[in-house]
Amino acid sequence: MRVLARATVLACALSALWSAPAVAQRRVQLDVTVPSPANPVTVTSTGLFADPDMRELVRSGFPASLRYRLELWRAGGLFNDLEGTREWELIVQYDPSGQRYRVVRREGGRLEDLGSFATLSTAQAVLERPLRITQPAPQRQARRYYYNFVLDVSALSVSDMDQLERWLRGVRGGTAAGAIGSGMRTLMLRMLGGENRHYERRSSTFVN
Amino acid sequence: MMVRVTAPSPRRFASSDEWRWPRQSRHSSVKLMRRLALALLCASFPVAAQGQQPAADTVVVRAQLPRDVAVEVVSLFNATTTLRTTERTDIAAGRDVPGDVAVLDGPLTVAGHVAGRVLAINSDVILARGARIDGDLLVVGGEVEGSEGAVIGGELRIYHAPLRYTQQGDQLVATLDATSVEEQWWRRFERRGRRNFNRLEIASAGVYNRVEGLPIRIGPVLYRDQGWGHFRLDATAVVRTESSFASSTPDVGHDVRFEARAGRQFGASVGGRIYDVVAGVEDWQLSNAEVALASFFFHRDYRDYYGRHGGQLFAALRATGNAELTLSYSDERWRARTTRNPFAFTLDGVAWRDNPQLDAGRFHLANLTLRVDTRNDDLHPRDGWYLLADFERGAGRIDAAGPTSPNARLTGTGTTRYHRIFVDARRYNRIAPNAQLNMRLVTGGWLSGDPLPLERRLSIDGPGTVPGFDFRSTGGTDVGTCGEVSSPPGRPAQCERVALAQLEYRNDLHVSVSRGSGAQRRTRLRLDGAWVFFADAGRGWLVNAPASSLNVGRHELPPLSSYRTDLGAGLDFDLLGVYVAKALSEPKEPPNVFLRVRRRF
Repeated sequence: MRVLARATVLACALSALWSAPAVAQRRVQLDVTVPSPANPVTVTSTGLFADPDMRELVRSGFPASLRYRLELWRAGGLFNDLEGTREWELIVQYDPSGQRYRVVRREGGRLEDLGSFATLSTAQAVLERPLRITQPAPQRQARRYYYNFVLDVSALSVSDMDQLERWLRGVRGGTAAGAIGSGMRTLMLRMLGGENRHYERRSSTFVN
Repeated sequence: MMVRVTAPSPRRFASSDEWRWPRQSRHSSVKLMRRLALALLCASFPVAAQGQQPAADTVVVRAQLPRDVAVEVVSLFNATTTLRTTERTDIAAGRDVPGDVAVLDGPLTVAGHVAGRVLAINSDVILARGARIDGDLLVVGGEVEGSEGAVIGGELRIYHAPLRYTQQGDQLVATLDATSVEEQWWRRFERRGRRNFNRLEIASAGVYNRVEGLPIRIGPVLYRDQGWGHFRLDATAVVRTESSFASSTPDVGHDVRFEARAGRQFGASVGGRIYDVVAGVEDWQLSNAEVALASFFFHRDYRDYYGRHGGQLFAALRATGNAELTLSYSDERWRARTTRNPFAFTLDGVAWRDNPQLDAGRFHLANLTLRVDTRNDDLHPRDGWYLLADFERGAGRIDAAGPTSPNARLTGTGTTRYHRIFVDARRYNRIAPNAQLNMRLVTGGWLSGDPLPLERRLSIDGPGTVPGFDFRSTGGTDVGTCGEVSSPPGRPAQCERVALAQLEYRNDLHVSVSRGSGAQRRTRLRLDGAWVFFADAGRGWLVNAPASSLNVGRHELPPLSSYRTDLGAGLDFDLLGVYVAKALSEPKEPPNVFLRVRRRF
């Protein structure tokens, strides 16, 4: 019986590890449109909160951090060269008192308040609008380039004490068994760094 | 319930990649009435109001300046004396403003130099190419154009919501909304990593292992931001689940660390630490998470441990997050730790591998450590270098020498003085949009002086090095751990020098399982990962044991034919990878199947 119980816990833990990224990766979609003479590169991310777990976490007040990175690579030669990188971060947090989702954009030392929205769907729609990026741009003529678009999503970026506080306030609610299961899964994911979900999308290769 | 519904359309694009939002109307009376009506309605149906989300296709735009931001900007505006205007303002090229600038209802155009801070209230800011602001740029109720061609020495903050205010003489007074609660999280976010805090920390103090179980550190953390840097004090007790509650003499450690850091991206740190902790002998082979999980779930502990009790002073220079040079001096006492019997999910009744009895004594250690990391991504690197180099000068006395294989060292106890180096260099290359060729070279060991104590010896053994060979399983003469004839219990690492080369080719892999066809087609499972092909070669050897067959001259390298080599392949699905490796240099070794958390290196 003891062996069976352990095997069950082990199977649950492993399935939690495998299923979390699988479910998440099923829906988040990144797109990169290669630049043309008239338009710079355009990036789009969709389905950011389609994952029910992520949605529930954000709705419970946990801030979601969306870290974007756009890399410009030059193909050719023995190795591909990373010619430029641009990084920015969007933070979405639900304020239960005001019942609004606030969105903040940070890039380097620049911090921009993008506003507050009544629903996560509207905040998501805004975050998912195509974004035209002027830098990094290819500099050399007649060379082959491609873009790599990276998104790291983390929903548990608040401090441990903040999490504990929210947990104790019963924000997520649920039964004791559910709490233990959720806690076990969170513990495993945190040990492995799995609360950070990683997505990548590469553009097609183009000639500047 | 009636609410005004508007779509969040961008007002305009100042530059192609910047997002813009509608400004809030200054005529807020309608909004106030609407809020009042909404509040009354919510008060009438509190449960329903909390339990329901607005419809997904509606948006109520309630752009509102956080309360303490309003207080801050009004305070800054009223305090500004160098240049304060309430009209359109131009700071022309070549003009130098020696202090702060505050503009109300501008816009403000900057082409020259502002030596202080710039505050724009309900005003746009246009920065000409070459404009320079030495302090912060804070914009409320406006936008910034041209920031990419200007130099802003401080922070740039933009709030699109306007400030509502009244004027009393030349002073502004903010009109505050008493019910505003936004600032709580907003300010917390803004000050993230920079605010002062005192908190009780309860966290893991290391990996789950067979000599401590789970070490937990409990104690206060004090952090003080000083503007130019910060002070931090961590004062924690270390409780061990296997030994702190089981013996008559409580085995409770401590770890107290103080650090003063100047600068943020570039800067220097000085500090000190006193500790009584358990440390791993070789923590470069596998990550902490891998060691902990293998111990907890599979009853396999891939590290050896010893106790460190003493104090340390350190100083570090830092350049962004990519490079750090640390000099430290420690005075510490080492002691052996015995194996306990912590819980494991599998094979719980089986005895753990002995923790080797390592040397006990007192040591004075001086370390110079360089870390350079130019990888484009810490967890998923595709380009860049990672270099870790450590030089250690050790001097002290071994009071109780741990057992070794015959001939592995001539003398045990007594005074000792040694120099040791360790280098871990990795290069990540993208050879095609979907392929990578990564390399790693690890080498190190004895440089000069007396033979190394057991705590500083090395091995090339197990899944983190040449995984075609099983961990601590080779008998007889073993170039992995430098055991010969017989090894002491636990088979400690005994090599004085090691060399390891790892080569890895990775190619993107996308797995998608769908059901149905045409419009009914649904993706059931999608996994993005990589397939990996790798080769490894490495071995360890002795340099101060002339009677041993594993001894190699101090200025020589072992013949390449004596190295352990393997080939392998695997599937890496980001969080977990499963691999199989086959030893080449020992054809009789059966293939090994193993799991790795994240990448191999």
